[in-house]
Amino acid sequence: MKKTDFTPYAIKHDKAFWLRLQERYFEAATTEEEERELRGFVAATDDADFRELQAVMGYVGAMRRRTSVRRARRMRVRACVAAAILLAVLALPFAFRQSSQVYGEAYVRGERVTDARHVERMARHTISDMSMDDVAETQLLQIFEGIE
Amino acid sequence: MAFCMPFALSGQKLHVDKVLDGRYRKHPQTTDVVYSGIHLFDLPIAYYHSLTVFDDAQMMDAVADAVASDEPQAAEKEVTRVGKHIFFCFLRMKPVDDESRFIIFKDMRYAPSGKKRQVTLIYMEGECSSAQIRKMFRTSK
Repeated sequence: MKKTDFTPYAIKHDKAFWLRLQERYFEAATTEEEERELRGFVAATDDADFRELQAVMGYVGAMRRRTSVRRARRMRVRACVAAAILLAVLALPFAFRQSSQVYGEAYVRGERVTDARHVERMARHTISDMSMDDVAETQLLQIFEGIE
Repeated sequence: MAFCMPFALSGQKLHVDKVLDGRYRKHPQTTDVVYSGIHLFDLPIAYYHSLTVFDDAQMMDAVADAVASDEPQAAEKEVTRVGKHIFFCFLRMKPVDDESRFIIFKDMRYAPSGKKRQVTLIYMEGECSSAQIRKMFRTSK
């Protein structure tokens, strides 16, 4: 069915008006209001003189929709990143507390050792070196010397 | 920071503070170990600091003299001497803020056999008893 001639836009303005507005659109001279009106007219007409404008406005419309979808996606990504950063900041003190529960540092003949597990092994080795066997032996010797 | 004795700030200074303040830690004749946390060696020990000195008479004497100076102030002690020298001692010093302090010292120059030119000083803090510390040393292999 043939569209156009009885649309509100056709009643509002004549073809010359729309052709002038189309020209101004392609010169990027239209206001938002004019663009809106033009879009409405173009959607309703099948006049061949406006075919090119229909094609462009259809692309721009699609771009606008894609852009808004992309923008919405970007907003969602930004929200997720912000949430992740917030979580990381909130978790940092707990992580730090975990890692700071044990601290180890040693100097072995001037060489620094900072691996906490290695330092713990060194500490345990030092403790085991403090054998009580020779202490007991000394005490026994002293007892016998006292007896003599 | 690691080599600041925690209780030095509380005014309860020990003579061993002077040898454990880090002045010997980079010396090639020493091994200096600091280990701190919440539950060390499966006991409520929060702080461990040991200093072992090899083959340096001046340093070994400095460590031995510091321990000998703290020994009279010990709340609980077990001391084995050879002549006037401390061969081995276990000292529990007066607690600070409910934390016990222990000094364990051994001077291998006076060992009955297998003498070595080596002294070892261990300082520990924690909410543990003397019995627990002694057991740790006895059972440690």
